[in-house]
Amino acid sequence: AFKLLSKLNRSTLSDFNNLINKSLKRDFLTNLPIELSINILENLDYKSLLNVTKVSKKWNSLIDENFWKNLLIRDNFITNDELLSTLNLNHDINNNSQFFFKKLYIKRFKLYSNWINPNFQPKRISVRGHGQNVVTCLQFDDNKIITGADDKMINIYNPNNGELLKILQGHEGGVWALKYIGNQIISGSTDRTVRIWNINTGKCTHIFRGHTSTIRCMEIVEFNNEKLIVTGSRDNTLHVWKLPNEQDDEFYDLNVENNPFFVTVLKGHTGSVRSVTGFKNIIISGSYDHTIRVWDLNTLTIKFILKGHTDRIYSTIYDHNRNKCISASMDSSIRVWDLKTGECLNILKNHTSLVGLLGLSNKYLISAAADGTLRGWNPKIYTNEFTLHHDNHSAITTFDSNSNVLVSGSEGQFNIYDLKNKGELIKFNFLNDIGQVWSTKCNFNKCIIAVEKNQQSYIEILDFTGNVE
Amino acid sequence: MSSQLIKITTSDEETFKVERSIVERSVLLKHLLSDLEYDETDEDAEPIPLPNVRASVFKKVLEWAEHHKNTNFPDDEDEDARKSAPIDEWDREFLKVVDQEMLYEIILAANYLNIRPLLDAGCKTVAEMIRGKSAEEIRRTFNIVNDFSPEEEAAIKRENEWAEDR
Repeated sequence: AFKLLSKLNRSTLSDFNNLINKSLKRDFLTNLPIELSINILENLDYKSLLNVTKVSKKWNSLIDENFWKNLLIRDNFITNDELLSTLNLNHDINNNSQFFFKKLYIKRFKLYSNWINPNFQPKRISVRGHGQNVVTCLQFDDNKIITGADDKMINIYNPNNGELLKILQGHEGGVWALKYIGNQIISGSTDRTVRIWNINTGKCTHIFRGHTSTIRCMEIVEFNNEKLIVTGSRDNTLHVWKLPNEQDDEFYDLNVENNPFFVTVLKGHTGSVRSVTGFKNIIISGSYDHTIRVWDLNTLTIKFILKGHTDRIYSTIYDHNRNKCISASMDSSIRVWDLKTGECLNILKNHTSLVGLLGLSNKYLISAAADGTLRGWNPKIYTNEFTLHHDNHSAITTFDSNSNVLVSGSEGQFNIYDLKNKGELIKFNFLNDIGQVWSTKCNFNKCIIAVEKNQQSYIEILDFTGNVE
Repeated sequence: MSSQLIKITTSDEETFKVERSIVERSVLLKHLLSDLEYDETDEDAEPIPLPNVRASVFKKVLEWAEHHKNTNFPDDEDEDARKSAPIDEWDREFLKVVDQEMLYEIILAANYLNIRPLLDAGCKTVAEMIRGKSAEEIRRTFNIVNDFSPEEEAAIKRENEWAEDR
C-alpha cells in the first residue's frame, strides 16, 4: 500500500489525505469510557451543552439529570438544604420535575451572570426599618425577611415588594439575637428573656426566663430528633432549651423552675458570651474571657477549654466536616483548633485589628476585621487566598456570601465581589446614598441590607432576578 | 556504568528506555516501580510491559512528559484548580496537531497510565472542539450520524427553547 501511495501525484495524495483524516475521526463521547466523556463535558458552558444534547441519542443521554445535578454541586449553585429536599423529589419524576436539575442549573447560572455583570442593575426596593434604631438581626428566604432591632421590635417584610407584613411586639428591651426555623422565630433581648413567636399568627407563644443579663447570641441545633436552642449571654452562661412544638400555640411565661423546655445551664465562662455555633451535639462558645469552650450536649459536659487568644473572642465557626473550630478575636488574630485534641493548629495573623466576623463556605473561610479588610482563606490549609479592601478605613460590620458572590458593608460603603474569581470586585460603593451598613444577607436571587440613611433605619432589597424565570 | 534507564515494552513489542523522573509522571508506573523495587542499575532488569499502549502513542506520551519534566502541576486532589485552569499553551499545540485517532488514544493512555494533567489537557482539547458549535457542526467535526427522528429532534428543540437567550 505504501508503495502504491508513493507513486501518486500530489492532488491524488491530497484527496487521500482528506479521506484518511475523515476516517480517523472519532466519536469521542461515544467511544471513551463514560467518566472521561463526563470529564470532557464538564468543561463546557450550558449553551454548548444544550447543543451537545442535539447531536445524537448517545450524546443526549450523557447529559442527564445526574450530570446537571453534579454541575450544580460543583459550581455551588445549590444549597445543602435544597439538595436534601430534592431527595424526596426523586420519588415522583413526573413531567414537571423531569428537567428539575437542568432547569435549576441554567437558572442559577443566569442569576450568577447577573450578579457579576457590572452593568446589570438589580431592582432595588427601599423600605423604612425600625425608626432610628440599629437593626441587629436579619434573616430571610423567598417568602419573608425578618429583622430584629434595638427598638424592641421584630419586623416581617415581604421580600418581593417590601411590604411590612407584621410587627412582633413584646420584648421590653432591644432584640440582639434572633433566628427563625420553620414557622417559629426565637429571639433574645436585653430584657434577658428568650421569646418564641409563631410567624403565621405573629403571636408570642413562649417566654423563657433564666438569663440574668442581655442575650447576645443564639444557635439552634438538632440531634436525637429534637431541636435545641442555645443562648449565650452577658451573664457569662449559655442556656439550653428545647424548641417547643410548632403547633403548641398556647401562651407560656416560664421561669427556669417551672419550665419543661429548660434543659441546662452551661457554666464556666468568666466573661460575656459573645458567640455560639454548633452542630448536632457539639456547641462552641466564644467569650470576652478570651477563651473558647467546646460543650457536648449529649453528656452536658465541657470537652475543651481552648486557650491562647489574648483578648475577647468575637466570632467562632464550627467546621464539623473537618472537626475543627475557628475563632476570631480582638487580639487581631484568627486561630484554628483541632477538636480531636483541643490543640491550636494555626494562628492567622494577617489582620491588623479586631477580627469580628467569620464565615465558611465550600471554597473559602472568610474573615472580616476592623482594619477595613476581608480575607479569604483556604479552608483546608488556611493559606490567605485573597484580601479585599474597603477604601474608607472603617470596620467591616457585616458580610455574607451565597458561595459564588460575597457582599460586605461598612460605614457608608457596600461592595459586591465575585467569589468564583478570587474575590474580584464587581460593584464598588454600590448604594451611594447609605450611611452605616448594619447587616446584610444574600441568597441566589436577592440581597437584603439593613442600613442607616439620614439617621433612619432602612431595609434595602436588591433583586438580581432580572428576566431570569 | 549502565545507562540507568527504565525499560518499558509497549503492546506492539517495542522497548523504550526512559529516565525514572519521566516515567514517574505516570502514577501507575510510579507505583509499579516502587512495588517491584525496580532497579535501573541492574542491566538484566526485565522490561515493564504496557499491554494497553502502542509504541507511537507511548512516544507521544513520553514527548509530553519530557517537556513537562520540571512542571509543577496543581494538586490532583484540588478538583477546582484543575478544572478551572486553562490548557497549557504547549499542550494545546501538542494536541492540536495530532489526528483525532491519536488524540483519542493519548486520552486513553493518559487515563490508563494515570497522568492527570495530560488527561485533563486531552479532555479540554476535545471540549474546545465542541464549544460554541451547533449540533450540525459538531456532527461534522466528529463524523457522527444524526440518529434522531424528526419528531425526536423537534421534541429536544422544544425542551431547550426556554433556556435559549431571547
